[in-house]
Amino acid sequence: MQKYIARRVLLFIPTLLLASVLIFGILRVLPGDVALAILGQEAVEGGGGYTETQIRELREELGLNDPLPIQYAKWAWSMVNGEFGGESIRSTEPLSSIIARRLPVTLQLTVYTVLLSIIVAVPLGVFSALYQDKWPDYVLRMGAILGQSMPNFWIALLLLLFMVTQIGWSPPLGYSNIWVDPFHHLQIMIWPALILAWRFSAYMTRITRSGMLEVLAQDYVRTAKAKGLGQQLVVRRHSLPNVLIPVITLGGLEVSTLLGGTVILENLFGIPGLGQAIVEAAVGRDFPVVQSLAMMLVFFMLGLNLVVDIAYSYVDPRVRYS
Amino acid sequence: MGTLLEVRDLRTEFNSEGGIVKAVDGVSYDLQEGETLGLVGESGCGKSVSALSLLRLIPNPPGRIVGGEVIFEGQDLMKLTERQMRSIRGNKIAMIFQEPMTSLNPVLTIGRQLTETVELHMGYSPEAAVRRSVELLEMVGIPDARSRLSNYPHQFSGGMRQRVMIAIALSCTPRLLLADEATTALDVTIQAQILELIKNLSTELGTAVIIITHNLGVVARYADRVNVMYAGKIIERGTADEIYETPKHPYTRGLLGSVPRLDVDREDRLASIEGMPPDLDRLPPGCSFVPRCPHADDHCRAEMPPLSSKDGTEHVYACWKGHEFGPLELVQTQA
Repeated sequence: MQKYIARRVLLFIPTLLLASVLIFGILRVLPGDVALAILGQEAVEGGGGYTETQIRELREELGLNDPLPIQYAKWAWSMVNGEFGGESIRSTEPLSSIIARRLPVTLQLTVYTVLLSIIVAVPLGVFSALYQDKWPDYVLRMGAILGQSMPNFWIALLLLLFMVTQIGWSPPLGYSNIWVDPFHHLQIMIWPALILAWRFSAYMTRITRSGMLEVLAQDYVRTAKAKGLGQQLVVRRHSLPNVLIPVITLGGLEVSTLLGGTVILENLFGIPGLGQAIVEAAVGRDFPVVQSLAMMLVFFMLGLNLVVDIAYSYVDPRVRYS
Repeated sequence: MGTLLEVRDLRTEFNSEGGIVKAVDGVSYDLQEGETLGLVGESGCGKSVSALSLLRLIPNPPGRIVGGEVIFEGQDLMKLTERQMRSIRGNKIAMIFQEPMTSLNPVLTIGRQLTETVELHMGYSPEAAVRRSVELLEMVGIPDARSRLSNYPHQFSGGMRQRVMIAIALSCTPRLLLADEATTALDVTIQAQILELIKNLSTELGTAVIIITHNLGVVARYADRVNVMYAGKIIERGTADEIYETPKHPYTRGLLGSVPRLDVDREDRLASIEGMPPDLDRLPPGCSFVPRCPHADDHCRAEMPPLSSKDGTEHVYACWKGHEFGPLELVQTQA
């Protein structure tokens, strides 16, 4: 098992290299000049102008005049040595502190969403399969299709609008750490988590349902019935562990789409996670922040895949022993 | 010895796109305690479905048992509640399936799959169930039984898995064992071992066995009596000797003629039964075998012959012309 994990981690290296080149490259071809953006904003705020010399000096200071390979190498090295790409050129906050502040928030939102989804989706999927083509199955499948086809941001806007206009309440604007003020924390986190979970659990319900139908038709389920086991044992002991194998695999892959949703909902609900930071930084052409945070998301995804693989080996003895 | 099982006019149907398929169409037979009965026929003739019907394990939908009685130890199984039925499955009547590769649950240990039956039906404590499981594995000839309890099915070979299946099936000392193509998926050498094992254990435990197979060699060696099925019906029944020496139904004769035999010189090609097994949702009005039968006449096309014998013996057959056929010609003709 350790060997297996070590091999998986080694395989991360080429993926990370490729992703870093892509991220770095994309940011270089985007239009817009950081030095101009910074000076322009200062000029607006300070009510003056700026000169060509100032632009050149700032570009030099930011390292923008170095050849691209050198810029890339500097950045890549800083990712390894723990500086994570230096500091924000806007706020001069070190990236290590930005990440330490923002990553846990996104992590929490993801964990809430996934937990909510599993709690809801697995029982519903099993139920749906057991009542295949009867009305509870139709109702659940309809709910799942709705959840999968409505865009997150649209539901989020409708929800916010509804809460403000109809019940005169809106989620608090400021964010609180769960350890400091759990109630306040939940008030703000519950809505995006619910919205993300609807979509995610819709997907998970569908996989669970189809997985369950497949398992129920297996020979070993027939064996279990022929032993005289009741419905409950047949489902809980003999079917469910087998259903979890595809559910974990496909669910793990789908978490990447979930991350996309997190970026949008963090912005809509003012949640200070990685997603919100990345959008803010992109708007301000704060490229060290954008590229380092994008790399963090890549790390996050790879880590998740590893967790999925390990979880997989726990439910499937054939993987564990090979 | 008394009668253990009486099946009366059992009918099982499946809904298919082409209409209703009568997979088991009025099957009747009985079984004495401790007897070994062979149920023979080609794929799709309804032999497996008739076994699953005994345990009421027909997947519904699309299948349904539409009629008949299955009197087991004096009770009609068709009238029992689902709960009562569960207390019979795996306890009084156990079943071994064809595919040892897929019939065991891949994510549960062999131990778990063995102990659950005795815990359920015999009320064993977990410790007692483990002791019993070790006993059972030793009984079916699995070495190092105690340590193998924590293994998973993929760590066993096909033959070993089928031994485990037999151990599970016999764990509650059933009165009746249904072996549905139990050795078909195994190597020939392993087949013999497994069949010997079933034979010995069933004799030891006094368990009656229904061997469901298309392998006539298996039946010849192990069955006391044989039922031959075709298109959902039993078309011939007799002792193994009667069936092998003087088969009366042209289908049985064709079946036996198509088996290579070591006791006959063979220079020509093996005989085969012409045509295809019939569509069970589009059966002809008379005898179902008519389209493939070289002896069929208008009477056969018009009326299904009953399962009977001309001279009132126990060797019965559903053929108008059965009495005309003598012992099977052992010298094979040119195909």
